[in-house]
Amino acid sequence: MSSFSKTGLLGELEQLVILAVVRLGPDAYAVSIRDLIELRTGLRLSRGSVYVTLDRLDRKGYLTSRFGDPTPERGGKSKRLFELTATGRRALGSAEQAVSRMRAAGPVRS
Amino acid sequence: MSPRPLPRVATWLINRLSPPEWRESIVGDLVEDRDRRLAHDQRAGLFWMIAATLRVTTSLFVERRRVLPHRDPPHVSVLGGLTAEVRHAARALLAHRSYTATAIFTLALGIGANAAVFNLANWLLLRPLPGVVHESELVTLNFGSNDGGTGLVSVPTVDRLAADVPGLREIAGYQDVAVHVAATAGAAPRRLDSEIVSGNYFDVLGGPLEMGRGFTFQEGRDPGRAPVVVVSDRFWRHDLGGGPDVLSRPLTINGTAWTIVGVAVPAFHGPTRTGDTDIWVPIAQHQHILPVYSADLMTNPKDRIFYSMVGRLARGASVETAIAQTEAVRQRLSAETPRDYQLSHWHFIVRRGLDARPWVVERLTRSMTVLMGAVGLLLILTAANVANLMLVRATARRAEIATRLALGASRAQVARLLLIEGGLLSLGAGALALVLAALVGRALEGIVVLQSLPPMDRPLLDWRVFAFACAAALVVACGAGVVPALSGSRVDLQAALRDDARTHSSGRRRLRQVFAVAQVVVSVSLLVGALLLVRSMDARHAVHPGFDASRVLTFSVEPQLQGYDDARGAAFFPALVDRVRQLPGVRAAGVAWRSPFALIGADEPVWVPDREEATRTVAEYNHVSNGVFEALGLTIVAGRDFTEAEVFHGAAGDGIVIISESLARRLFGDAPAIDRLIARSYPAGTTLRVVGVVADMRETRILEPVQPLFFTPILRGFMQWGSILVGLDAPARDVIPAVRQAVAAIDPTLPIYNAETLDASIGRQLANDALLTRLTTCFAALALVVAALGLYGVLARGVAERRREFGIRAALGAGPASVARLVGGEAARVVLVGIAIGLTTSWWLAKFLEDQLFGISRFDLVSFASAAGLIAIVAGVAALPPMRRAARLDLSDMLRI
Repeated sequence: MSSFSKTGLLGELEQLVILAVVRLGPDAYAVSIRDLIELRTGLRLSRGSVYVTLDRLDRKGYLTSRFGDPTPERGGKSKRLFELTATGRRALGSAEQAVSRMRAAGPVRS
Repeated sequence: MSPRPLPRVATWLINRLSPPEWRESIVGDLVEDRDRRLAHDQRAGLFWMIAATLRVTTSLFVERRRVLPHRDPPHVSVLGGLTAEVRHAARALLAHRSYTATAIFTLALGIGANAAVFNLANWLLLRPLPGVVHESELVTLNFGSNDGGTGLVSVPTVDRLAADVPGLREIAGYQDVAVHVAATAGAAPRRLDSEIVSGNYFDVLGGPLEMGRGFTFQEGRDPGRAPVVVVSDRFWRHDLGGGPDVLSRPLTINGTAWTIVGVAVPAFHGPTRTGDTDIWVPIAQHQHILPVYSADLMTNPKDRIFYSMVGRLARGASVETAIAQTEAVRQRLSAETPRDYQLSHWHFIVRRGLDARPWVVERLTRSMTVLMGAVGLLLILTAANVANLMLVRATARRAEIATRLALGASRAQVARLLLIEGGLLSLGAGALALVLAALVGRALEGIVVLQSLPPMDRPLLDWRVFAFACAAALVVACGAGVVPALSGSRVDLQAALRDDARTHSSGRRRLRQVFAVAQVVVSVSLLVGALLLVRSMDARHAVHPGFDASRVLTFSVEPQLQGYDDARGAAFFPALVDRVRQLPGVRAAGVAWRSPFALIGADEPVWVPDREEATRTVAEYNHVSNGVFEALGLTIVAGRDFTEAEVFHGAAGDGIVIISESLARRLFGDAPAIDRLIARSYPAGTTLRVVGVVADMRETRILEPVQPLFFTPILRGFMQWGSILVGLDAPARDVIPAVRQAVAAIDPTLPIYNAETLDASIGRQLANDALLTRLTTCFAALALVVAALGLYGVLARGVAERRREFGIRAALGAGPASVARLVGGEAARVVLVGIAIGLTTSWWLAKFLEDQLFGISRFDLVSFASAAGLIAIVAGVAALPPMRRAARLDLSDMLRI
């Protein structure tokens, strides 16, 4: 149940996927997102986790989707293309901020 | 060129498991991915495809379930929630132990009675036969006329069928014969049922034996071989000690030493479900078993010996093929022996499977149908009763259910919860019912269920009975669970939380009343049926045989099986009768060719010479010695009994006859019969002189009208076997041992059989009806009790719910009596409506009982009126406590909710 955290913070995987969507622009869909993450990080994500993460981000309202035109090389099937929403942009921002603030802070006195 | 589509299984998975907005793009993604892999020479076969599809779809599926349960598609939560709901229902049932126990016990009664009767039917009609493989390939053959006459076939005829009927792979004949068997050489022999069979008998049936082997071809063919025998598992265990050394042990059968070569599998007693055979001998040894047949029985087509044959269908052959082919054989045989009446008029009757003789099966099926009907009604009754219990409980749980609904449970979910409770109850009831059925089975164990049928070996519960109990439990769970569940889920939260009994109880009370009426209807029907049977049974018992059957002992001996010749047989019976007459407690004794009520009939047309047309009468006959009428207690109304000389010595008895009063009346009217002549058919042209007229008696079947009878002196030719009839002055159990000693004193190797009073012989003729009546009466009594409890429950619940109403009535001046009358009125309405519908239903149902009735019509007024009266009385008793409680409530009770 931790996937919908009350703080609105993003998991690592969610951050990776959102960043990929941002980089890919108008051609962000499951296959290209997975490829890009592999290309940049060397991590080959499992097929399932890409879809699950996209689905979750969509339902959280961080991503929005539309259907592209059907292409013959996909057997006449459309792509489901994703785009970052304003909420998503804020969530990405606050997640990055939280991480960088933690980095900047000094050691905790015990 | 567009790429190959995805394998069908992949698209099916995607459409089934993933959210709709994902489906199209996933398909496209997978196609794209696959083709890219192929372009890079990576493998992307069917296995890869399915693995990839499963990854995506299951992940999404799990994700959706995990995160947002309220958006699940409904079928998902049915599976997921079931264990939790079952656990919840079980907890709820355990919390209400008395309700649970009552419901389970009531259901178990209904289901248990059904399972017990099914068990009996299964034993008699359905169970798989041990020692038989592929029963569906087997056929039973008889030789008979289309109108039910049946006859025997000879060994050569069986051989002809084996040779000329390609539709049958193999065929074997068998015939029931009684034998005298002594387990050890010196021991007193017992009379047992055996089958004399073709050599290939066990091969046709196909099952292995428990031990040893069946017969070889030569043993079935060659009378010169040493005699060999196969015994039943029961005989081996009980009479031969059950040791492994039984094979090749000698066994004395009919005075000859035989060798045991095999032991049949347990519970195999011949190729029918109603068989009781313990000994199998090959046909070639017929001279030891059937001394009356000629020595060339194996080759003589005139020596007919086998009553039944069993055959195995050839591969691909149907029963119809076998019928056509046996008919062709019959026509050829008939052409070869043109004057044979049976061959030219009868046919081979081929039936699929192994079964008792058709009339036995028919009789059993009829009885079983009645019993099944009775327990079916009982099941309806208990289901209605439990439905009411569940309904009351659902009412009591209004608040709980309303709260569940308010917290977001759907009506379907609540109904499902109630149904699951019902299912659990039924499972418990099904288990308990199996125990009850086993107990009933034990009670039936050893009872000779029906005349000439074997007792149940053991209370067996095979998978069919188990399946039956489970199926019955399931049906009841749905039947008794659905209505209360539907009614229970229709609850208004506000009203329920206020516990406002007025708002919702009236509709539900009506429903409970309907169930109560249903219970009355069913119990009236069962009661009417039971009363009809009981009154028929009374009428049967009231049939008087014409003499006091309880004071006549009969026993039989068959000296011919011990190798007696005519001379020895003739000397034996006078000596035995003499000895028996000397015994204490014996009033008179004589010997008869057949014992009364042993179900062996013999009849023959007789007439007054020269007046054949006017006087020809078919009369039953028997051959008797002097003293038989005295032993039976029959009055000789004119003339005299036979004399000792006429019976046992030479020709003195030729040409004389004693006739019964009714035969005398038919032949001679009111004129005296003594010294008149009567003509008989066999041998043609002979006449008999009447020396005595004896009072009428029933002789063969107790339930048939009195038949005209004639008796001739028992002569030497008939002395190979006989039944001694003993008039008793003392209880039979005191005389029987003395009788045995008297026989043993003459020949210790000669067993006596069927030693019983004629009362018991009559009782065996009525055993089937008696059992049916007893069981139906038990079921009706159970029904009455369950219905009474059901009515009590409804009334008591009604009183509890209407306390406030009664309080207001009391406040307005109604006295205790008028309050009680309200409750009594409800009871009366339920019972009267129930009786009215019940009597109508019974009037219709009684026609299924018609075959089982005797001496009364199916509209017997006494039965119908008694059933109604009995129900009314019992209902009155059930209504009393709630009425009294209603009357005793005082105002403060009533207003305290």
